[in-house]
Amino acid sequence: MSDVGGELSLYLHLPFCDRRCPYCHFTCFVNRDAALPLRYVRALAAEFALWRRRFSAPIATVYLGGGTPTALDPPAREYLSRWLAEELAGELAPQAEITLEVNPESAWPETLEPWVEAGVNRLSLGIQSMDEDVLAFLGRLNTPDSNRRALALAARLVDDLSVDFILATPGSSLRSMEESLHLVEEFAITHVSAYLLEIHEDTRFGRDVRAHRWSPLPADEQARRYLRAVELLQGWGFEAYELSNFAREGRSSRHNQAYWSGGSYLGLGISAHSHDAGTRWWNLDDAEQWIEMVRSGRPGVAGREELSEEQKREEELLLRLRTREGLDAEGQEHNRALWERWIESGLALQEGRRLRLSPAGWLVMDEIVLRLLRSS
Amino acid sequence: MDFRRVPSIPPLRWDGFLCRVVTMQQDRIRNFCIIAHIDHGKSTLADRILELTHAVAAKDMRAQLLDSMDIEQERGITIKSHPVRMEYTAADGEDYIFHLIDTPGHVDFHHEVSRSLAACEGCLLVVDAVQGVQAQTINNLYLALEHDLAILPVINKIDLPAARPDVITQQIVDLIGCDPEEVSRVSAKTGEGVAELLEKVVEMVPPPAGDRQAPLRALVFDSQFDAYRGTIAYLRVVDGRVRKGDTIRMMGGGQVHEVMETGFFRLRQIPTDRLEAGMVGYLATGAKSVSAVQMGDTITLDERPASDPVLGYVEAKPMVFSGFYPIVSDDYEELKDSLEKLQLNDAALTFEPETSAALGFGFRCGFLGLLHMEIVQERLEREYNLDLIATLPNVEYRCVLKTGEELEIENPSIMPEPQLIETMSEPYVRASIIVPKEFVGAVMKITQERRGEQISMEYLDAERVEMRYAIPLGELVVDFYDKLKSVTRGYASLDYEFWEYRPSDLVKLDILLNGDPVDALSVIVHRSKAYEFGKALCRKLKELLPRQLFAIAIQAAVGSRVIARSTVKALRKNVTAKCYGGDISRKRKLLEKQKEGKKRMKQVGSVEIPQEAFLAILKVER
Repeated sequence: MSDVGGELSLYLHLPFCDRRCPYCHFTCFVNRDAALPLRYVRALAAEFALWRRRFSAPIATVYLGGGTPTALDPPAREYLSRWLAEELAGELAPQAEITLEVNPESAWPETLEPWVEAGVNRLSLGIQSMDEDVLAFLGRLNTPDSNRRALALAARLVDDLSVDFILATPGSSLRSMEESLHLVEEFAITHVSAYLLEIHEDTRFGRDVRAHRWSPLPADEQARRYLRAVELLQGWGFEAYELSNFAREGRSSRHNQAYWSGGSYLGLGISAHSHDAGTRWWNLDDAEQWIEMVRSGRPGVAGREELSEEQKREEELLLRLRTREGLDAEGQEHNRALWERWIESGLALQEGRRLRLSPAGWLVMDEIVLRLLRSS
Repeated sequence: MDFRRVPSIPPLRWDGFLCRVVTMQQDRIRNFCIIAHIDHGKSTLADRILELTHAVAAKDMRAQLLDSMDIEQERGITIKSHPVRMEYTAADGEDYIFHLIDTPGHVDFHHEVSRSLAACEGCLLVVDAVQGVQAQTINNLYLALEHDLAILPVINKIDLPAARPDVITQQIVDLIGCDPEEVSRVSAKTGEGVAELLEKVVEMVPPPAGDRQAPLRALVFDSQFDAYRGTIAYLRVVDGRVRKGDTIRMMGGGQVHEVMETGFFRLRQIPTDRLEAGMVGYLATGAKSVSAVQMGDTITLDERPASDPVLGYVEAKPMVFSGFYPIVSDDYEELKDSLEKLQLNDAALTFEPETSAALGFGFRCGFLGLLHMEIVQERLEREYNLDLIATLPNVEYRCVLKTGEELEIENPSIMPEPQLIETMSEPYVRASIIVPKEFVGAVMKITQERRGEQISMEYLDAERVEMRYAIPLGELVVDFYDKLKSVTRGYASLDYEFWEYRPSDLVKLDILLNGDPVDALSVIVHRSKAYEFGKALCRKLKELLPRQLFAIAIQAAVGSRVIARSTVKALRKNVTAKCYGGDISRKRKLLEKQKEGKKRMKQVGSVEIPQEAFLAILKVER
């Protein structure tokens, strides 16, 4: 692993939740061990210190995600925010973007302000929906009321305010989605992540669907919702800079872009993934094992892979096509016929030397990528 | 009764042992086979006979012993001839040699039966004690009579509670005109009556009549390929003798070989110093090509040739054709090698390279029938580990062009444009169906649907009717047998043989995807069926084609006229909404897997066709 210079992004995984969401496949858990969170965040700081010897570039973005970072108990929160303010601050690039993931039900002045004081300048709120039924279906603890309250608080604390929506839950209406999205107009929101609901196998939703307790919305309806969401957001001045991410001018997430542009990023904490110059590695997913390993003076890495040139090309295609930036047309000459057909039918666009997908093209991106790979 | 009595010859071992009876007086030899309708217990009876004659050690005994291929064991069918030699001491105290030739039971393998019969003097005609005389019983009987064999009628499965030995005896008496006492009653399962049957074999089957001093004449009734000993001919010596080192000549094919080894059959091949008139055994030629020894040919000695070949032989011709294509085009060479290897032991299999715009490079393979095709396909997939697409099987059509030129069409996609054609004709078979009388109406209905013409209808007894039809083979090969079984609740039995080519109003039905014809989906059908079949095909394809980036128009057309259509809507959503740190590796791995899956898709124009689409066409209602 090498420090390629440039900038580094940092992801801190805080796996603790008050309740497990039935669709979530991330490594997180409802913690019963009062002493664990503090030991965990100490290990986060320690793991960073271990890596810092090898990765010395200035840190351009930090993302505190989870889990529910805002559900950390006070001692752990105090430790980590102090570390952020006192230790990490000196390592940051100028204008570093520091995001905290926030669950509305745990957004209170006492849970958010310490983070902002410690340097967090961007809040990402897991609103998901403004429809009570949808929130109940998703097993969320937040409500339309707590959403509003959290947004009002967050808007007061930071300029960069992002919200997450989950689109196309079964049983929900198009109208309910439109009303939820209207929140963007109501508050000073600068960034939106709007995801079509994904069903992962090893989640409760996955089991429900396998057991035929309910079905996802038909693909055509999902497509319709997504395109409508894009249309609304664009109408309000948001640009779709990635297929699920929308920002007002200049407010796209730099942290996210590191993932899609092959940037270097360090993931700290259990199950966190890292990447540097074609090498990917990931951490242990058991908290105790990971803490133990970090304590013994080694980063808690579980596995790594070195990408072949072909794999690098595949990843680049896969990731770049997700973004508005798209691909360099010159590299796609051999696929000219495919692209022309896609452009003609509205799945893709060419702007100058860039080829990119339209929202309709993004919706079928997996198929498009396979076609491109097949012909190359 | 004790059917496990110990004969005077001790059980023999066949690993490197020397047979006690090397030369046998001709009048102590009995050559016979077992013929039966499918599932009437032929293989089980063979098992019991092997046990009783101690031709197989108890520890080696298992069910369906002679059926050595996995497929034979699994499906409970016999595909290849399995000769075996046994020593038997009869009640009169004399030692005899039995050569039993187990023959295939399925209608596809008629030619094998025919050759095996030609190697025998007698046959056991086995009839199920419950089911009674069935279509193949009758047809096999006719074959046996053509070969002038002594016929020993046997009722099997008398141990079953539903057994009706008296009724069935009467059926047999009516059929062959024997005395009721001549009909043996056995249970191959329990062994009851089998010992008595062996005594009857001695008594009723005539000894072989050949002349050991005459020039060699040996009938090749099967062959096998061995990597070390080359092509091995299974033969029945009719006249003369043959030994290792002899130079032999194939009377039909003209090839000359030196005999590397002679021997006889147990479960394995046991070398002996020579084979003489009346004996059944094998001869290794060392020849490395399947064409070195043609089944049905007669072997003679090069320096002292016989003047006439052994008669009674009909060459097997493929009746059903299908294109076999590797799913992954890299497997083409391997498919070719595998087909060549299979052909070494299956002379009825033919194949020629062909190219399909949709499927790439493959082979047009010829088979005796659908079962034969299934078996070859299964063996290629199991024994040679190949993934295949087999196109809809078809028969060989004949076409006379307006120019007078005649064409044989084994692949529907090469059928000429209608305006060039003077006449088309298709093969008809003579089919015999035996059913209980209450199903006569049902059989008439489905045979009519298949364009069958009734030739005759005859009551075999008060209950059962034999219906004879002329039916286009093309109508039979798809799923007629399954249909027949289902409309007669399993009671019908079917047998058929090729009859003749008849002129027919045939058209080529093409399938077009977004305007591009998919050659591998073209079929030749009777004009009266084109519309229904086209509709069914379109419907099925709509089910099977995955949605793609663009809508797919599916059309069925005869000539330039579209007769049916359907549409697969464009794919609207196939994407992973979230892709951050940890998702990236997962996503790429998924993509790599999908990429492999894509390789298995065939592409026509811009449309990708999954292999299932080609396979499921086989199941479309006609």
